[in-house]
Amino acid sequence: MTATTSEKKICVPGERLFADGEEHRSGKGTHSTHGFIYASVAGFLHVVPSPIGEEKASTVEVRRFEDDDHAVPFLGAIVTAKVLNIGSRFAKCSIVCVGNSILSHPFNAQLRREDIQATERDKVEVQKCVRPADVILARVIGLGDNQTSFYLSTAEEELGVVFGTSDAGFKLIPISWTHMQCSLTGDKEQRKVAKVPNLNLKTTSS
Amino acid sequence: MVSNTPPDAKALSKSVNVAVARAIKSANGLPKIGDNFELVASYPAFSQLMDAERVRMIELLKRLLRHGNCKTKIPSPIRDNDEFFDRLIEANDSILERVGNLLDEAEGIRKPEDVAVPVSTEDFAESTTASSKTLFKIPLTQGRKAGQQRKAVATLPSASGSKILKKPQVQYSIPVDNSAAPFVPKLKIKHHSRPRKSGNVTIADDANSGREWLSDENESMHPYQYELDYYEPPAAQLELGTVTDPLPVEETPLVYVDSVEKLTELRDILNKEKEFAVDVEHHDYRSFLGLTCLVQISTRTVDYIIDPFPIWQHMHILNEPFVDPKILKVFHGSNKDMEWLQRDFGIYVVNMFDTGRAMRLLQFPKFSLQYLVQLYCNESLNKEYQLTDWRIRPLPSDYQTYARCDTHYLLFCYDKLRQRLLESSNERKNLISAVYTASREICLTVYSKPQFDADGYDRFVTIRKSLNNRQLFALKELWRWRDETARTNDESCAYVLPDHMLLQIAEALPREMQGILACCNPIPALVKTSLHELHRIILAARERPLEAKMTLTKNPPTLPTDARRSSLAWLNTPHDHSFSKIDEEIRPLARGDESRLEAVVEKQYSRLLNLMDTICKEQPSIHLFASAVDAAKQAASPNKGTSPNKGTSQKQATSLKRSFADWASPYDCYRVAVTKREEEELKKRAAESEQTAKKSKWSHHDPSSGRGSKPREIRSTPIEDSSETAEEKAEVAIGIDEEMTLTDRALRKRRKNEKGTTDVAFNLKETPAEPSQMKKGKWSDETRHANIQPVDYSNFASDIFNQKPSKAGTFDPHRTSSVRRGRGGRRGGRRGGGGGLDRARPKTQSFGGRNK
Repeated sequence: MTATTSEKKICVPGERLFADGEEHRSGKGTHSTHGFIYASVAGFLHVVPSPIGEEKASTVEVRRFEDDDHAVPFLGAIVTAKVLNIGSRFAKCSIVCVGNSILSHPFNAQLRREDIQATERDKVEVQKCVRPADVILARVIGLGDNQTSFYLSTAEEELGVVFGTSDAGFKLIPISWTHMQCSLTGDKEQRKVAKVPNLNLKTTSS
Repeated sequence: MVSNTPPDAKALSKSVNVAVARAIKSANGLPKIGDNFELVASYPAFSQLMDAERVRMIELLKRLLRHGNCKTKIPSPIRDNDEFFDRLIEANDSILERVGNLLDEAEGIRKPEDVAVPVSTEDFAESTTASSKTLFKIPLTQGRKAGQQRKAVATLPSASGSKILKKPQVQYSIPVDNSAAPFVPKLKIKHHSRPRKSGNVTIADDANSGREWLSDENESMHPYQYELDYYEPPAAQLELGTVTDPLPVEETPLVYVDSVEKLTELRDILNKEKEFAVDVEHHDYRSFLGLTCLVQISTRTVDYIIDPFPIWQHMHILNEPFVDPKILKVFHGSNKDMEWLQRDFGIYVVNMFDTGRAMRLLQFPKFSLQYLVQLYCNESLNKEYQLTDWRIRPLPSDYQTYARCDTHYLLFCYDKLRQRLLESSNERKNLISAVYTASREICLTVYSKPQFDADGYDRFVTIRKSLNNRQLFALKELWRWRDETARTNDESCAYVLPDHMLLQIAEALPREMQGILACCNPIPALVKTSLHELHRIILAARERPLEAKMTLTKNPPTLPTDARRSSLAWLNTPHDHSFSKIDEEIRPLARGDESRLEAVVEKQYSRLLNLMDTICKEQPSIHLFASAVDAAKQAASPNKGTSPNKGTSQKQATSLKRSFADWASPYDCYRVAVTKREEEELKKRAAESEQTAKKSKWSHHDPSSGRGSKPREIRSTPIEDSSETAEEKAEVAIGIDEEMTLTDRALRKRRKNEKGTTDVAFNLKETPAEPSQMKKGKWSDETRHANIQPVDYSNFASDIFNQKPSKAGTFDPHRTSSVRRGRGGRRGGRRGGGGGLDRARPKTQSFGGRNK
């Protein structure tokens, strides 16, 4: 046995875990029926504090692994996506990660023009916000009509382009909310920049 | 010119072939359409030549067809090439057809009559004549073989004089037992039985009850089992001996045996012979079990034809020579003959030589009697007689001829085969012994009646023809009815209702009786009589509720996850619905398994590598990472294989893993940003609640100075913006804040806009706490609570008001300043021309209310 497996309770599907009462809320890998929380999958039992806004104190989850892994993008998830191509009305993206878990195969998604920015939603030009080969952080806001692709939105401060490639082919560095600068040529390009700190500064010589 | 000497035809056809080949070759050499034709056709000389040639060729074709007596017309002006070709094809077809006809005629020169066979009308319904005519006309052009429809038993025109008026079973009172009871052997007297002890009787003590008397003789045994077990072919049969040429058929007397006296005579003659050939003709259409119609026997000198119908019960006296182990009986393809002799006459055979088996052992190309006779005697037997009705009496002469020929040559063929076998055998005469062994096995066949197989209809149900449960029910019932009717009426199943009609009715499930009749063409007589019963069956079938069909496919379609599930997931429960089509879900769950964990980790890091690849492309700025990526790639792949590199690659892998752990994914950065923001909001809310809490503690008793100082205190605690504008400085000097000059609504708007103004450098601008709305006064609380001191105008520098506040340093993505200016402008405009626009819009009265 490796050290990583802590002494956690192993559950099997259908196992009754807790009573669906005041303190417990059914989370990932569980379901609540007849006033009880049952495990839906096989894995280890995790009781984590609920996110802010939930009335119940703790969330009961059954996870296969220690880290919170996702298999599919779900509604409201923060995803890391790569822009494949852009059009006049939307940008086609490919979801690579959901939260911190990397997906085994990418999902198709669309970033519609009106979902790129929070304000002035109709006057947005897609090519001034995202470009192909950009890596963006976005939120899943829905499933497509034909259910083949998700709908994304970057209409938040912290969402938008995280990494970009300039026309010259080099990395872009954000200089403002709407502009990024090529690291080599110094050309400025317009993007909808995500307001996230670059925590990898020490490894990259930018 | 074509005389009837075949070699000429050969030479002629050869020369024609050569000429045609040459013509084709030169035709192929001509320019083709799309290739060169258009170019060449542009030359007038070429097209003229072509036209002339074309006319000539058409003339030739026409003449040729006229000579060949072909009726199809070639249109003179050829307009449509396709039509022309179609006509040519037609002409060709007609010519070939006639050639086929002529060839058939030529081959059938020995046939006494034209082979278009009409049918004896008694046996069939009226409509059958037409169909059987067509049945027999078609095979003429297609093949030389006669139609193989054994069911449509036709009689040759020579038999038109003889008809079947009554069934022989009826006419001659032949006892028929079609019941399901087991067959009772008809052996009456056991000739030539070998002396032996009586069969061993053993008494078995059964555990439960009494005793069982078991005998090793039982009814299903062959009556001559013992004899055959000890049978050895006589030495003479194993010698090369001599080959006796057969007498010509014309010179051989033919004896027609149809009375008991003649039969006894025959028996006595046969008892003195050393060998004789036997053949049996059988009929299986108008009898359930079948009927032996004829027995042919040939000695070296005489041919005998036995008509068993009148002497049915007495046929068994032939048993004596048949079971004599010293007399050889020669058969050809005797499997069925044995059964028939047993069943009908109780005749068994000991000491038999089957020429068919000999031919197989000698590996002849074909094993038929025709081939054998053709090979050794150069005579061709007309096999069409095989399919005719042998019940007809009196037996026509050609029938008799055919029948006797079956056995006439057999003894001679036996001689030849015997010699050949001995030549091919080794010193132990293996081949010939093998023939005798095989023949003995055939002799040992015991006839048993065909049992009714209730599930026999299954063979109709194929994958292609899938029937629902109603149809299957009908099929089953019809199958049973057919068998019953056949047994009762002593007819074959094929006569009662042929297979294809049975299937047709079961499939169609016709609602009315007409429908049943419509399925049958021609309509069997027994169907007509039992129409009501059939109809009842169909109705019963139709009433049955339709059941869903089970898919009986061999490989039911599996879910795409199934394969992976079975191989990887060890908790393969049907309730686990979390299995998706994603690879990620299918992971080894046994985390204690180190190697598997390694595999998982490898997989994860390879994915991480891919992610990093997409994000950090080949750039000089991050060549650190690039090298790391390359090294990781190298490390990831040979990690599974080469052992000498394992140490270094593993070290690399671990260092990479560490560096990967340090690398912050975009999502991590996002989380940091979000948590920071949430913290800020929490702090703000806390400060707000604090502020409100503090305010609530005030009372009217508190000194005004104390109240006045509080706002100032709050303002001083947040981070002071170093870039204070001149305006702000001035305001501080005066003692008023800009906030004081604004209404609540304007103040709120300002606060909101200011909140948005943050730059990427992540410096938080101070956002003063929003005062809770305690009083709905128009003026902000600042003004109420501020301690307004009288202005000291002596020190007042008036030009501070003239300076515009510079907002150059701040980043305003929403361009709020311009917006505000716009709104301010509008306000100003309204103030000036309030009358003009506002009268039309009553709403604006409240907006400009205070301006009045």
